[in-house]
Amino acid sequence: MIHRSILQGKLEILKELFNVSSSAGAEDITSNAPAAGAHNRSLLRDSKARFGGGLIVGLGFSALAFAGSASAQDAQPKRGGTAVFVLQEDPTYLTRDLTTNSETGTIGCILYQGLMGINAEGEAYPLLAKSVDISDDKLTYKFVLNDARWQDGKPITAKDVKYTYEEISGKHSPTFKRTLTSIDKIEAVSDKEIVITLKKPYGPILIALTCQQGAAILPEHVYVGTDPLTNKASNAEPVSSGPFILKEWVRGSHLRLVKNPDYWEQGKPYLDEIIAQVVPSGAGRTQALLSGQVDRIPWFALETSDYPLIERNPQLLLQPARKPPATDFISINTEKKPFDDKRVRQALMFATDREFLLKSAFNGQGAASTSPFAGGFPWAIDPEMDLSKMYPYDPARANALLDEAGVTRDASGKRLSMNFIIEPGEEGGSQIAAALKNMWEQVGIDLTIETIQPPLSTERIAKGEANIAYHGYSSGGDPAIGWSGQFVSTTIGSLRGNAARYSNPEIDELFTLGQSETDLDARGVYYKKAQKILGEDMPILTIHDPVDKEAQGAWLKGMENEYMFPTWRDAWVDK
Amino acid sequence: MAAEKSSRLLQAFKSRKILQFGLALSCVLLFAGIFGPSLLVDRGPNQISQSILAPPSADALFGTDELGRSVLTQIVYGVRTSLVVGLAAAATAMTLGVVMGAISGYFGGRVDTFVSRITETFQVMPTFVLAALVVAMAGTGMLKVIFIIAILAWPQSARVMRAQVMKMKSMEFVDALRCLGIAEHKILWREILPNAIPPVIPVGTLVIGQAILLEASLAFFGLTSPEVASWGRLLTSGQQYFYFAWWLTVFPGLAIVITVLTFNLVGDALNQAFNPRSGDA
Repeated sequence: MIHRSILQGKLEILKELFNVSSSAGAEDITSNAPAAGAHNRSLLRDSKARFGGGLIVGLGFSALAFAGSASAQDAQPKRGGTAVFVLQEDPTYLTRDLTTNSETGTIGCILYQGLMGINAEGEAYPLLAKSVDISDDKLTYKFVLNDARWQDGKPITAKDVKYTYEEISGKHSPTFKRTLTSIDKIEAVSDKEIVITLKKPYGPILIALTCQQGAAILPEHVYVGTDPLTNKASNAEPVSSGPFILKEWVRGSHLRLVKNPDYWEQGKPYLDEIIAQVVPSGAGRTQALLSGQVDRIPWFALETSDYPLIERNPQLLLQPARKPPATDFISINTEKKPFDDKRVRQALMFATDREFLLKSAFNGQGAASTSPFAGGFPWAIDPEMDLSKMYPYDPARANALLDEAGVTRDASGKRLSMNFIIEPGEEGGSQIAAALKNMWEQVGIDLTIETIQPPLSTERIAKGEANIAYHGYSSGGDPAIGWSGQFVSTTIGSLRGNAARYSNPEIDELFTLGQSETDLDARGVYYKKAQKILGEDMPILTIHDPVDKEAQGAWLKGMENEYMFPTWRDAWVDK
Repeated sequence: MAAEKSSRLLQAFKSRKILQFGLALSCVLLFAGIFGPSLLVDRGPNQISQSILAPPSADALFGTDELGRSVLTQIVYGVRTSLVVGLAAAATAMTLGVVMGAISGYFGGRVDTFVSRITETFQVMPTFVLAALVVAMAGTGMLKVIFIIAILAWPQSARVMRAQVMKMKSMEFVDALRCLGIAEHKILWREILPNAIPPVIPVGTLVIGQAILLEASLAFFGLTSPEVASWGRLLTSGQQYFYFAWWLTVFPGLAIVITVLTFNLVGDALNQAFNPRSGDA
């Protein structure tokens, strides 16, 4: 009977929601947290004193990073045990080099490591590389590799590095592809030595060589002659070198990672096992943490609306995620009429009540953006620039601008009808769409909200088939990595690239100049100039600077020095 | 024969409180679906306001959601969505089921085997998964949802219809018609069909409830258009704000329970009325 199968389906969903441990083996997941939370929580407050403007990238966010280093001193890490964290869905691949999918990053950056790692302050440090020598002209970088091995026993060599950068990351990683354009040549000098020569000095080069930026080193002997996208190592059976290796992957249920016995860092990791549990529902993930069944919810899997719930539980920690600044924005297809007229785009900004969106769709978390870039890089942000002052919510001015641009109302009061693409399940997406429909109605724009699943949605947007679309982009740790892709003409048509199809030689030039300096203040000059132009041209409507938070049990220690996607090398469980 | 059935139905209606109750409720729902939206003249279901997540008050009887939209208004518009999907899907499923069942039962043999296998194929399909897949690939839209539900629900009525027709085709009045030289297809469509349909109606009524539930589930997972008011979509935000705004869960939840219950009560009562084995009919 059909109705019974519906009910059964619903029951299954409910089970999924509230009993996450059912498939991972309940015996592995000890429930209920011990009372270790209270004092660690006070550390969270103390840590605000630790303001670290990074040498390579200075991240305002890192100031808020909670520091548990003091607690690490009075408690020796305990060995053994299992930690459980949640994912929203299965990773698409097992290596970050192939996609920017967050689930993939989370798993991929445990399994594989880059030449460089990245610390809580957003600064790069040598990881798989033992040392880095930088020439005075900032063009030649010489790396010496650590004595690390793949899990099949073969040593990691400079040839693996060269192969990964040239054949895998350089061809598939949306972030590393951009890095590769500034690299002149990559030479494996010996088994353990690799030299990277740049065309021009490139500010964020060391950050770009981390796993987080799609530059995790992969085994050449496994990948050579194959398509990385279909290689078993990318999809099911990785041959990795990180602190944990993949033991089992039950799709739709969980991934089990066990300690790598041959891991190159002496004495690490402390945990025996990490389980990544797939829980599709946001409420289910939060409930699992509240009941102590899981130890951690990564930032991308934690719903904003659940922050207060976690905050009021003394055994749990809620902290701003240490990750590159991100931005939520609406792209306007500048190639389509009438959006090729900047007055129309400005009108849309006047017609958008960003304060209301912040209060409603974003639950008051984060801020309404003041600049076309999110506020995360103080050195690149023009303090004079304030979109909220330039474009306050003002339907009357929007109407006037539209009239001026010749987009007139028809008999029924409509000026324009168009589609607005959102992805189902995207947080805030449907709320933003519904609110915008209301707001823009007042200026005579009729929106039809279209819900399309990725990757279909991203493809349609990349092909320029959408008039406007809602996106969340990450800066990737540097304006040159993340923000440039939104605006420069070379990324028109690429997935998650320049969705506005905005082409302005002056902007292209400024972004090129901005990445070719290494001094932050010097770079800032170009980015500030670019913001002025973008604030006037409005290819995108910057809506919101998100502050993503992550949550974990206070009993989970050693996560203080992680960034974006934890490596779990120092993690241990105190219970 | 038909007269006997309808008098039985009348009798059942008089003696069954449940059927009366269920039909009364369906009338209320129909009324709400047809006239409700026009009675709420103040604002539409998607009208946002500055009072975000406001608890029930004189201003908004059922409170407001995260965009300040009135929950009451959305529920009233949701009645329309639910009823349209439920009734249209049930009607389509029944029509399809009656035709397929009649052909299968009357002609028998290879035709029957063929149609029966098709029926079985559709019966073993995982409804929700298939519906979610089709919507995800083909995009949202009420017509698509109706079509999917109908495609997945027709086998139930087809099976009942088939059994009914098989029973009837060997009855004396059919033999008599054959002796008169009436064409086979005329016997089927004009004589057997009207007599065989009544027991199919309860099955169809149950489909209404299932369809409403399926539509709500799809909306719950964000697989229907966000512009069409739907109880399932209300529940999504209800789940998100479960600990802060009970009114977002309770009212749409009640609406779904009451509506599905109504159609199931009617269906069950009709089923018993048509079932010769139930004692008191």
